[in-house]
Amino acid sequence: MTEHVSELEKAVLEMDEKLAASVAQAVVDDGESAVQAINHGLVKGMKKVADLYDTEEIFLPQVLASAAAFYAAFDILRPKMLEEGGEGPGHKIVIGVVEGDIHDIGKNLVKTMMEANGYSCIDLGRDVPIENFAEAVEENSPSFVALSTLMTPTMKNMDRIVKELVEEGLRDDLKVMIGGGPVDEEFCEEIGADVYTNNETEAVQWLKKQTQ
Amino acid sequence: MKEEMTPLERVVATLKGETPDRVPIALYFMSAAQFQMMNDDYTWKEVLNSPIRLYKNVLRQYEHYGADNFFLPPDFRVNGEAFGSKSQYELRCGCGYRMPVVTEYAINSVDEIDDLEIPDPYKDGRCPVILQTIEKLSKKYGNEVPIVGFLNSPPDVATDVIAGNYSTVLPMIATDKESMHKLLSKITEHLVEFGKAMVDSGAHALATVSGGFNNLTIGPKDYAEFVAAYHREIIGKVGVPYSYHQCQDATPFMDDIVATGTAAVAFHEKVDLAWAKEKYGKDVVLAGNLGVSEADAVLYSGTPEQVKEQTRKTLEVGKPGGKFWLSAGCEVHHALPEENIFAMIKAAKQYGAY
Repeated sequence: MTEHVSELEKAVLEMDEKLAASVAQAVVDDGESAVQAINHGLVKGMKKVADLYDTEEIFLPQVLASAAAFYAAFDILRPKMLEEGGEGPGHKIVIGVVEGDIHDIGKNLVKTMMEANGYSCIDLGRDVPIENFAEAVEENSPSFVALSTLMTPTMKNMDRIVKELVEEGLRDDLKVMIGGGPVDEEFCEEIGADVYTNNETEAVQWLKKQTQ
Repeated sequence: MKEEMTPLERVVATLKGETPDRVPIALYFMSAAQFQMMNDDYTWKEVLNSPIRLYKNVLRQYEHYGADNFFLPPDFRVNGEAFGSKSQYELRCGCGYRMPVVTEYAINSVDEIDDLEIPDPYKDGRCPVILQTIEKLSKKYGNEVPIVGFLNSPPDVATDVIAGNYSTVLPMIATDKESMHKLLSKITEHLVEFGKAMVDSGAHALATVSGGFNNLTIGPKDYAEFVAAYHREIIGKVGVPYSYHQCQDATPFMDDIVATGTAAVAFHEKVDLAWAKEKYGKDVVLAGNLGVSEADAVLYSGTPEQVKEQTRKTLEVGKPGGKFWLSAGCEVHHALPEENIFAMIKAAKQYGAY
């Protein structure tokens, strides 16, 4: 384990984007392992951040600032990680906020923790047209689709997306995850999604069970 | 039953701690304004930018639905637009159009905060439309129905002013407090001026919605510093009753909210009304809290019969001792079955009499 690895963990915990980027660059420049830097530095840091969030010792401002530090380093390390063959479990997830809703903090947080745990996210962004999910599934053949919304009126679009996936014959090999303020397990069952998770930790725990 | 008081008398009585003829029905009537827009074949843009159309739309809150207040504007973008942000008005959602969202921001980074000019409420953005609408409402109903001007919460306005929205503003609380306070101070200055202009135009009271900064996003310490402190400043300067709605679970923030000096606190069904009544019911008017925003919320997914029963139960807890307004737990929005709004108001009149 190099000094850089522990510095990356520290940069994430201390929400220090500049430090995270400079240390990640040093990892690349010094020819150290990007996979190790990510898994033992960045991911370890983000897991501690998630624990602190779960116990309400920190809140979203701090988590997002840590996530910014995570990505400042991760984006620099990612090309080298791919060269090293460290793609993680290789499971792809199409993720997005459904049409009509622009609230993407929750989605971004879930995506960060998914990527921190080695999943590969195809992020469609926010206010994503219903049809784009089916298109992205067809193009990328992911194992999962993750849908998010914060608003009650746009919940209905989750139903429409699931129906579209069924109509396009894409639903059978795919698991659909939903999350966001107004939705719950009952709604998940009602629209025929596979799981509702309440937060990013639950989402990753569920994914791990599915991909073990 | 013939009612003995006007809505204005009824609401003023509760604010004074006196017993009105019945519990007032105070609604944050927001995106449900769309019901009438759809009927009239108007878009949000066409209504929100025209004093006469907005006036006709807002009138329905009292004349058609029977609420005890007028609430306007029915959208959140006015303050951000006043600073120079631009909104997309034609956004669709699961059940038709929805209220505008900001797509071009007044400033792109914290470096530009110093350049932000405080908007003139009589000239900038849609502020003049709101003021003219209030004037019209005041001419017809100024002695009869409370006119409540809406001020978006300062940190929520910040997300409409600086590019990146919540993704920029939330981390600022953690890593750039100085810039955050600088931005919030400018926004608060505007809100005070706009609030005073609404009062000068005929508003009897002002109301706020603290939406994105809630128990799911920030902790009590940051809430006190970045949310409640700025409402306290507004309340101290505007000089009229203030109604403070906190989205999601306001429980951890209630002490700070009540300490702002607000006249009323409106909250989500996640707050235990009996607890709030016991702890704060003598200090402030409480407004709540029929579920409206969750998948299983009674106003959203219940039947009119269930709404009636929940209204009865809510009044059973909130009504004794006065200082209570029957309200939805959040904004009255456009995904509600309209018959549930009527069911709530009818039941409030039936069970709310003192």
